[in-house]
Amino acid sequence: MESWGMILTGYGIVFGALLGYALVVLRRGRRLVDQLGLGELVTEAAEVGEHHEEPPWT
Amino acid sequence: MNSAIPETTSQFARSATASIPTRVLGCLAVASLAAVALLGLVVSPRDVNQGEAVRFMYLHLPVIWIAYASFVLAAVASALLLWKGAARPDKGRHYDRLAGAAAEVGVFFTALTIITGAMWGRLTWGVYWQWDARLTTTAIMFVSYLGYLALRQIPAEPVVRSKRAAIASLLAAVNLPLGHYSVDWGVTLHQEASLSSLSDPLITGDMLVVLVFSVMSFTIVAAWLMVHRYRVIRLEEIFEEEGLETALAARRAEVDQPGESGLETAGAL
Repeated sequence: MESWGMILTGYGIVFGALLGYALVVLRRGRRLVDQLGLGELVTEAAEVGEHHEEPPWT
Repeated sequence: MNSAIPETTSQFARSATASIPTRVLGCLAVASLAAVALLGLVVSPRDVNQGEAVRFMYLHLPVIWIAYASFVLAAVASALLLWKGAARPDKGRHYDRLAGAAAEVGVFFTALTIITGAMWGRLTWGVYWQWDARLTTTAIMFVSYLGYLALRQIPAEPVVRSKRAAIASLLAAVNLPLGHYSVDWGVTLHQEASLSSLSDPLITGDMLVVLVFSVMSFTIVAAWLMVHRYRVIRLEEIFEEEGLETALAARRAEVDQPGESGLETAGAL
């Protein structure tokens, strides 16, 4: 019984930490996109029908 | 047209560091991790010697594998930066980003290795921690790469900073073979490698299948994390460069208006 408690805690820690780290990385990227105004660039480009600057992976 | 604009913006803001391949990779990672939980907790049989505690193997082995692989990748990228970085148009910034992303993912997985190892050790050895060869070298590895990440944060010229970090990464990598082979060389409670070769593994049957699947799943997760972290570092660089340009523009504007310049005032005094 003691081992099952420890095992479930271990799985919870690992999966929880992975989820937390992934969210931190995604939020950091999103915040930088906002701070750099890349979202605004997309809007302006869409308004005038021009090519817009964006990261190479999009 | 107007109705499409917010949609475009929100799509971009929502995606940020994502792309279609990373979305596919992310879905694959979530699905395979769910399968790991199911296989590790339900499908895998209990071990004759370790009992239920063997279920920690499906976490502990994959996370240390990712940690080692990440640090090796960081070392290779650092070596390439020092060797070929100067000749590249970007002065080796690509290698620097790769090393930084890999090292951070490696540190994260090393922390998970230490946590899962301590819990597994408590069930099988009766103690959370022992200062033996494998555990000590793993702790040194963790601390040395934390130092590497701290070094990357010290402000400096980008080229200088990346070279400095690359040297630190190569120095930290010296500990990797010591850690890996410490179970063979030193006195340790830690068991020998369970999966040093697929042709002659120490475990077989369902346990081997679950372990290999788990290693593959965590590799997908690490790849996803590393790609996103790389892209965040690129965005951070753009942010830094834009900040510098803004500061320079502000300074030039000050110089163009001598009456309001602090230097002008100082000269008058």
